[in-house]
Amino acid sequence: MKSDIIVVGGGHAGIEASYIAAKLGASVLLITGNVDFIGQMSCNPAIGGIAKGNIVREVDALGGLMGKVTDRAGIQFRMLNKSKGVAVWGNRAQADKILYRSNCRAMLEEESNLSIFQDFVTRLIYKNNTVCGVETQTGQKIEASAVILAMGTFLNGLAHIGMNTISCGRTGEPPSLLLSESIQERGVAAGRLKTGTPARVDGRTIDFSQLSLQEGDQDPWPFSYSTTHTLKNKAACWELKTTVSTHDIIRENIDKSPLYGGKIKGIGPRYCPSIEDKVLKFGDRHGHTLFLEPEGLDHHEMYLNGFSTSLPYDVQTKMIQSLPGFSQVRMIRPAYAIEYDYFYPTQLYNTLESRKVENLYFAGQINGTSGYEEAACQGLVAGLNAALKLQKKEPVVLGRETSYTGVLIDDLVTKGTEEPYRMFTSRAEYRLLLRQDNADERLMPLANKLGMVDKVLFERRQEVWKKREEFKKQLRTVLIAPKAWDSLHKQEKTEVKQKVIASELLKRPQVSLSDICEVIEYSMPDRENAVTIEADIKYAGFIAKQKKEIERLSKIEHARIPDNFDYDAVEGLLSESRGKLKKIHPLTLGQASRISGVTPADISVLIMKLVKNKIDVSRETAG
Amino acid sequence: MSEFDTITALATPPGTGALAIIRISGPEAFNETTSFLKEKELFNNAKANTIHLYTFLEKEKSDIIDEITAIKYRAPRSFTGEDMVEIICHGGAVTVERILASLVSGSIRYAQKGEFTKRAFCNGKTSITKAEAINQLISSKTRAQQKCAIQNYIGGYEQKIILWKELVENILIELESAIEFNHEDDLANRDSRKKVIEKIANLTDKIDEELEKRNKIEDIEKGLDIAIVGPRNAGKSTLFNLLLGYNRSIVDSNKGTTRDFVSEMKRVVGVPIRFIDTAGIANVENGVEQQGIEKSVALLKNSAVSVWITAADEDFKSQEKVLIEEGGNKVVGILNKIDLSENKEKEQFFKDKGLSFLRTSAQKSNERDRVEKFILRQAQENINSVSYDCVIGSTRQRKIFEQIKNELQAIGQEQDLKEEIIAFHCREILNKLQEFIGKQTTEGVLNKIFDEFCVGK
Repeated sequence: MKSDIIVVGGGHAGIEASYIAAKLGASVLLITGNVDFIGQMSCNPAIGGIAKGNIVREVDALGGLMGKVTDRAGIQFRMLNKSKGVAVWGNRAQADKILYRSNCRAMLEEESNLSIFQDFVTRLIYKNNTVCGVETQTGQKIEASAVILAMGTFLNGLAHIGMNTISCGRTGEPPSLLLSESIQERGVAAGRLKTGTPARVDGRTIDFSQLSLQEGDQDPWPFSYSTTHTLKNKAACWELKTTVSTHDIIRENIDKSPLYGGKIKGIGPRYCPSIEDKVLKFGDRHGHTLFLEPEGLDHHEMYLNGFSTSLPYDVQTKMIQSLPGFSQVRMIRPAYAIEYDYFYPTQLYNTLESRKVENLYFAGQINGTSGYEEAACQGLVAGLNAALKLQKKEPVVLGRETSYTGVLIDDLVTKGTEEPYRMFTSRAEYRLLLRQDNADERLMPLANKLGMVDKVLFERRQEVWKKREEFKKQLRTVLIAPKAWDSLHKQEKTEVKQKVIASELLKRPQVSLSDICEVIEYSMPDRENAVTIEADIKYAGFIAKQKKEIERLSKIEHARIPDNFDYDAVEGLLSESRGKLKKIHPLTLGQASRISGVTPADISVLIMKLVKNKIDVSRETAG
Repeated sequence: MSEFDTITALATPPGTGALAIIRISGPEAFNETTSFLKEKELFNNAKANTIHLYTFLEKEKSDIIDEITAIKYRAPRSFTGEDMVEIICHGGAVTVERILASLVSGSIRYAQKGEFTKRAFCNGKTSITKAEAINQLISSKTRAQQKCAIQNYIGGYEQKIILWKELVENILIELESAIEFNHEDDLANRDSRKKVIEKIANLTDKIDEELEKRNKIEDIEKGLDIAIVGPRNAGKSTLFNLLLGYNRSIVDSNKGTTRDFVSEMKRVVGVPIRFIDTAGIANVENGVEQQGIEKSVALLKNSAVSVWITAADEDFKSQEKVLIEEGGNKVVGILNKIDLSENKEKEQFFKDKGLSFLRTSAQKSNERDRVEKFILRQAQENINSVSYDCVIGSTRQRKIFEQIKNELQAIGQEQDLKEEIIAFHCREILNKLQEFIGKQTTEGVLNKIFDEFCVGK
């Protein structure tokens, strides 16, 4: 067997990597331990959310499959944060896990360049400092020009339920016990992280009358720009709160937690704490909110969001039974915590290629991230760059100003992460620019140039953008008189004292596009366009400011630091900074400036040194 | 090691003084200095940071220029971070000139303005804000400036800025957690919104307070106006000259000599004061003179202190009492020419109006201290109202504060502003505060580095 690119792992990173690389013409072999679990959602049955929803849109704009699959497998859709500004809206869908998997499989099978093979990769084959293939459990040696690693939590995975430990990749599937060592053999340093998942329960054993219903949006928003079918809500979620007795049970049994007993050494995510963490650290005056979410349409298994724990089975049972409406509950799968190997992402280039081993790419949870969406966008970038390198083309590095994907990868490779990294909108300094509604405008032109998106779709989007521009142009010319404004009783919203250009009036926080259209007697654009037009105009001033900032910083951002740059020869660096710079070896001054602990003074000193070394900072650009 | 050449400059002010200090910095500082010293061995073997006595010779001719002391500073433990020598020689233009001329006859060159500080910066010995503060310190003309400068230099205000930064960070935490973790438009959201608004108001007050202090400082820096007003020939110009200590205004016993006002700045205990000699008040026909008088009345009303001077040997003129009253309680009286006559009526008038007054004869130069003290006591209140404890110490810093104020106003004006927009403004404020203490590499700072400092080196 031989192929251009081998992708190890069929999770959300692996499938995007395989899919895009195959689309770009590479012959791809996707090796996964169990082909039935391709696209498995190991934790919550939902895709998207705040910031995460934006990533799904970006993956879609770049030709990935997550958005399309979610629109097909989604069973309840909600746009979160609607009361806040568009820039922080987050689209979220509950998905049927079985439908999600089958749709992933179907989409992968559409790519003729893509082969799927069930096996366990046990070793990487190297030639000098380059990876050139893999060895598998079944004794295959498969050659490839590039290998993309996307093994999620499988590397030396160890699940904890109370003091019981189970060696597994996730419960029910064997771990990968040899591969991690084979990667570390080449000097790639690894660490250990922890994450957890709550119990799944039988929905037929719950008294829903004690829970409050949470329904989907009346008119759901699709994730994919290619989706034309109407999305329908087919299931509901439920909200509930923990009780005093739940908290008492947790307190009484805390000594049985492997986390509090010090048995788990891996670091878990702060933002997704276990229920015992929540109770002990944040108190329990009002109870902690939980959500009960369907795992699928064809069965009654439900996911108890917010209740992850590593307490023993018997304690878990008592805890769950103490919840309102859960007295008769039957547990299907207990909650567990899982520890796994990850590789410090600071050992990667922005293309996700290893700095230590050529043609070896790392994507997803093995880079220290958490979340399906975070994994997917990395898989896409790794697959894309592996394919481009194969074709001897320039790599694609997404900047922080282009996408959440760019922010995520830049954060990982320059700062690294000590806990599972999750995306937040506040991680993006250009948040107002990186909206979920404009991912297509931000990324699709690039994707189109590289042949990642469907031509017909791209043309359709171009039409949409053109129409929007025309509409905005009109709003920039039409004047609104005080009389016209007052005649529709709009003066309560804001006072118009003299004639004002429609687009300027729209910039006032109280005014909406529908107000304007009503007064100037324009028909409202459709919902999708209205949102973007309104946001573009309302945010115009801020975006202009941010763009100026981006331009201003680009000189520093892209100023290259030579690979052989000798930090010891630079006087005046703080010794802590010197150590970090030597360890990370940033490629550009921009990266250097984002390393935590590196001060602006350090950057000034570096600039001076670079200038002295006669490096023309203004002309150098990042590769 | 530094790739710079070696520079020298006089570090003390030029002119006659007991001693002068000459600085030399750069890779050749030690070598070059040795070549001018008679005691070469002593200098070569001298430990860093120790001071010794040497004879400074004019090269080749071996003429003795001066007996000096010199200190060696070894890189990087020096002000510039390079090898440095400080020569302490006798003061006086010629000695200094001869030493400098000798030094630059070799590979050393005269330093440009601020070059030592630049080198310190380039070698990582000082931050941009410190470099800025050094400049501020050197050019301080008033106590206020000097106090601000030294606080900036030692980072004395950093703590305050850090507290404000924390306040903004708290606002951001409130906003961001609402954005990231609180999807629903519920009570918690509205509650957090209220907290944000309160904190914004709190910060606005603090920023306003500093700007207000800075305004007062700038006002007083421009000079505190003390107008000398009174009827013709009361001795205004005589008093003016007395206060200045030299004859600035023409004094003549003919009435109406000063037709326009004359002003002069003088620094009194660190405070710049503008003494203003005005045209005498009288009923006149002459248009030009009338204009002069109108200005006098304006000055009487607008100056920080108005000194109403009136002659003891003359009665109140027709408008005099009205005008004194118009001047209000910042008026002080000077009853002049007391050597010629007593004037109980005028004394009684000042007493009745509750205005302090001084009996003097401004012609006598030994009256100066008494008169000055009397007038300044009145100005003291103005001076005291200025707080030198102001975070803003330079125009650059003032500009940053004004920008912060703009951002705060943008938040404050709109009730319906979305969280992410408020956060945007807060981040801008945070950047500005970082910039203020030099913890942020911003455009201004970077441009300085690229354009002013080391490019082309």
